[in-house]
Amino acid sequence: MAVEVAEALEAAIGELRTALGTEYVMTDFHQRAIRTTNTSPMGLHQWKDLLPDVVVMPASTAQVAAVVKIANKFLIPITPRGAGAGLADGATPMKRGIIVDIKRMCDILEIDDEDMTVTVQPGINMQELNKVLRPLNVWFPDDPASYPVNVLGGRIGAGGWSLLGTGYGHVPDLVCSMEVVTPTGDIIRVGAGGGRKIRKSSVGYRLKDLFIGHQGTLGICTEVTLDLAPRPQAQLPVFFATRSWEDAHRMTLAFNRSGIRCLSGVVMFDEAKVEFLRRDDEAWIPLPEWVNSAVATICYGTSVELEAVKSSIFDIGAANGGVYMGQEISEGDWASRHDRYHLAYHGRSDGTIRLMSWSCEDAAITWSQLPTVKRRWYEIAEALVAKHPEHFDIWGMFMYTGNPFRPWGDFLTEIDIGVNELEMTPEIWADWVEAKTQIARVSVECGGSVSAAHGGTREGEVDVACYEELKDGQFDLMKRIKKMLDPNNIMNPGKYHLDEAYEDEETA
Amino acid sequence: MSQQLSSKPFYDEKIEGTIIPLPLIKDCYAVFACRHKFCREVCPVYQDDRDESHTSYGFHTALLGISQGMGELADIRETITNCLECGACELRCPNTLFGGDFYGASTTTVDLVRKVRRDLVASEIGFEKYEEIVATVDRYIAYFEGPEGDLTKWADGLNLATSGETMLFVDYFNAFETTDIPRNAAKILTAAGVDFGILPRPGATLGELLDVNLETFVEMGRHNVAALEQAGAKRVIIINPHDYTYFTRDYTTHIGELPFEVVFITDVLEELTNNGQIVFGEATASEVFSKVSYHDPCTLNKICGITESPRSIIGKLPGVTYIDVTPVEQWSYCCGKGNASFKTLHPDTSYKIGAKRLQAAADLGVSQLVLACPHCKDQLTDVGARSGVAIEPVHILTLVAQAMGLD
Amino acid sequence: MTEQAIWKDGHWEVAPAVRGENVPLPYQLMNSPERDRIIAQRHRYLEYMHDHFADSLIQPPEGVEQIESEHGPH
Repeated sequence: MAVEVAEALEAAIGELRTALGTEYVMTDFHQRAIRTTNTSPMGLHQWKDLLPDVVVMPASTAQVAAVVKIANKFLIPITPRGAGAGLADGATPMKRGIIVDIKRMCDILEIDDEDMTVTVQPGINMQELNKVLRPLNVWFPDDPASYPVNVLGGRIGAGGWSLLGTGYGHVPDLVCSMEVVTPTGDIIRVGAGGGRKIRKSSVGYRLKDLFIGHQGTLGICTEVTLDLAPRPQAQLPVFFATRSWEDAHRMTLAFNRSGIRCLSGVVMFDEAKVEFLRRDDEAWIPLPEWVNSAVATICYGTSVELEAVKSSIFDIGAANGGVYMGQEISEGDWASRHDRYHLAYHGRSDGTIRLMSWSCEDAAITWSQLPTVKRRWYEIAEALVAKHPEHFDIWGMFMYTGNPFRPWGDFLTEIDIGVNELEMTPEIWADWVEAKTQIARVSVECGGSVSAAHGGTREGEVDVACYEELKDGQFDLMKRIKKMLDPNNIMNPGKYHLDEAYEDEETA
Repeated sequence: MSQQLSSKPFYDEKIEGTIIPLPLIKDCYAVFACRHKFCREVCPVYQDDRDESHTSYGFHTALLGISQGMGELADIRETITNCLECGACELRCPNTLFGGDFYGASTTTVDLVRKVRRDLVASEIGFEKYEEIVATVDRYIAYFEGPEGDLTKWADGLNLATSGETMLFVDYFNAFETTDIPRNAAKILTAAGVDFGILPRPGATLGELLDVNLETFVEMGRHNVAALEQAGAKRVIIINPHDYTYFTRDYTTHIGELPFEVVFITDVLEELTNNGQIVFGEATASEVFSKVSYHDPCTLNKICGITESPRSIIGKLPGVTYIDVTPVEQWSYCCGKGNASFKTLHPDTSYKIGAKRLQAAADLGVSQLVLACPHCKDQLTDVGARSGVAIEPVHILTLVAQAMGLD
Repeated sequence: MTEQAIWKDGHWEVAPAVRGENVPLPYQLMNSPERDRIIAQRHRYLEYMHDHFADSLIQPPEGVEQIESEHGPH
């Protein structure tokens, strides 16, 4: 570190301590190391290079604004961080600097069960929020795999996707309004209406959307008013086994077209995913050999409506070659949807266990393109595993309905790959990045998006996202907006290639 | 409940400065690899300070970071004290909850925290307030060396035997700090017609020893096992749930399989009520009818899985309306005292965790919170007095004794 | 039926052939009561999560055709 940079950092840390209190300005190695990674794979060889210089934990909007102003004064980068449960490296600092950990800001500020909103600080977790809301018979229906661990600020920064979004909407659909600290330390409110609770308005630009899914590059959400829903009386998870993935694909279209309004999600499990679950899931291990793929349907709603539609669900499944997998798998697997896939012991190499982390693509693909994407992705993944059998392992594919409020059209499509982080080398990592680039390119070539859930900022896919998916002027506009709002490039520099905005004057 | 073995022998290998043994690196990586941090919101310490350094993920990742050349053991001497050793995180970790049984590999954060604290002591680095913990240990160990009869003074006038096929094991905390609990246990068992004895000189069963002095813990454990065996024990009844974890889990690890059955008092009382040896009287109009909830001690609930017998007994008590909070919900609860040294290490956080627990009970509209652990009783009584939360913490044996007319 | 798992003492365990040098078996000792404890806690947790999201689970229609496992419990 250059002397002047080190001096600026030291001075900044002094001011941060004055603003937040010494206890909440942390420089020990482990406090920084645990806030470096997110849920996407990282070779351990990269870890040291990604360490931030300092971690701060503000407790209020004013403290967040103070931190941002100090960062601007000393030109030290800021990376906002929620739960660190994203898969797009949004919370990983690429230029060291200050991690702003927002998890101390976790208060519920108002619950309104008449206008059906809740106003919270960004550090609150959804499951904890719903525990508080339950006695009022309302809930906040955002249900990602990280439901028990994630926090609202991160969900908003990533523009998150929900397993129940097809029924209840995804994070961008559930934000009524927000308070945001901008990259220059100004405090603004985005959203419609004179208050905080209007969902639909035609006044002005839709600026609220600008501050959702920006990966921490445009500001820090410090307060948000969310849309609530009535707590469901009942749920009906039904899993069907099929003899081929083509059967599962066809059955899914039948559900898409069923018109069942309480259908909150449809999920396909492909052949490799079923084989993966047979490795170590007590419910899947004893399934008969003919079980090749699966389709899960999830209904939430009132008891009366679910009782009324259940025969239709079972009839559609049976008419499309599905056999009901029973209550243990249907109910047990659905209840374990958040937790089941995080075991390092899932990894296999040459038939034996090898500790691996979990990489999960999350492209948005339309139903018609799924067979092509699936075939081309496997070609890429299989070539990677053939080249590095001790470092990568294919864990199969899921495809989830992704269209908000409507169970048809888009599918969050993931191919899961085990990654041996412990034994990663720069050379093998380069091959991994190249494979990810190819995977992302297939998504875009098939008319899809690189990411339905987490964002397109990861190494490997960010080039495709910026230069291929967001071509035709979108990426250029992003750069102009970024430079306008963040003249010093303070907020999460290095993400989405937005640094280019400061290199090329023509984009200013 | 059978004796449970979940032991990582490689935890015996000391961490030296920056050198992390390879099995421990893999052990830590298995937690780091998840990175979702399901261990976080369930942790009572994290709920208070929101600092994920003080979680299972934080501890394992810090050690992994040391193995990658980022720091050394001394750097985590403060962080590693921020653990209640309640077991919530290791249970909630998918490695345990969703694969521990299948792979025979689970997350064992409580053992890891104890191991790191011991390694810090062995490396002469120590940790915050280490001396206070040692002083506590010394004070209790002195009882073992003290005059004959001191350790059984709690039983004065009860005329208990010192041998038998059934032995009641009474720890030092109960024997000196919360004597009504062992006295009630003895009275209840006697009234139910159970023949039992007590050890005249039990060895210390301190969680603090697992933090600072494993050798003495094991030495005391061997003494207990030998003394109970010599007394003729085929069944040992435990009334302190912390002891229950030491007997059924730590002794199994450090001493071996025990030559007698170990049962917790509420499981025994459930048997005795089911087979008619304990009969509760009808509530009378003059008795105060109370609305109660139950606090699962971390040791029983999260570490051993005993949750049903206390609820069963409370459900049979006359004049009591019971409001349940599920054991899984209570994974994220703790009285705040912790499994060993936490209250000494962090008294303010300890108080706040306890006050939060009492307030959760108050929010249910109950008047009493039923407990099955002397440490929870001690802590929540203290917290109640300081916080003004109007909930009466009451030990389950007190209620049982009252219902049996044993006052 | 997978060859990667074996049925032992009332629960599934990873098959010995699948273990390798990276399997912690040589490192961690675990007995059946501990496995039973984990399984019981898992089932308790799954029940809790159902209850967290909705008050009830709708039962499948009576007599619906259901998959049958070829080996072991299901």
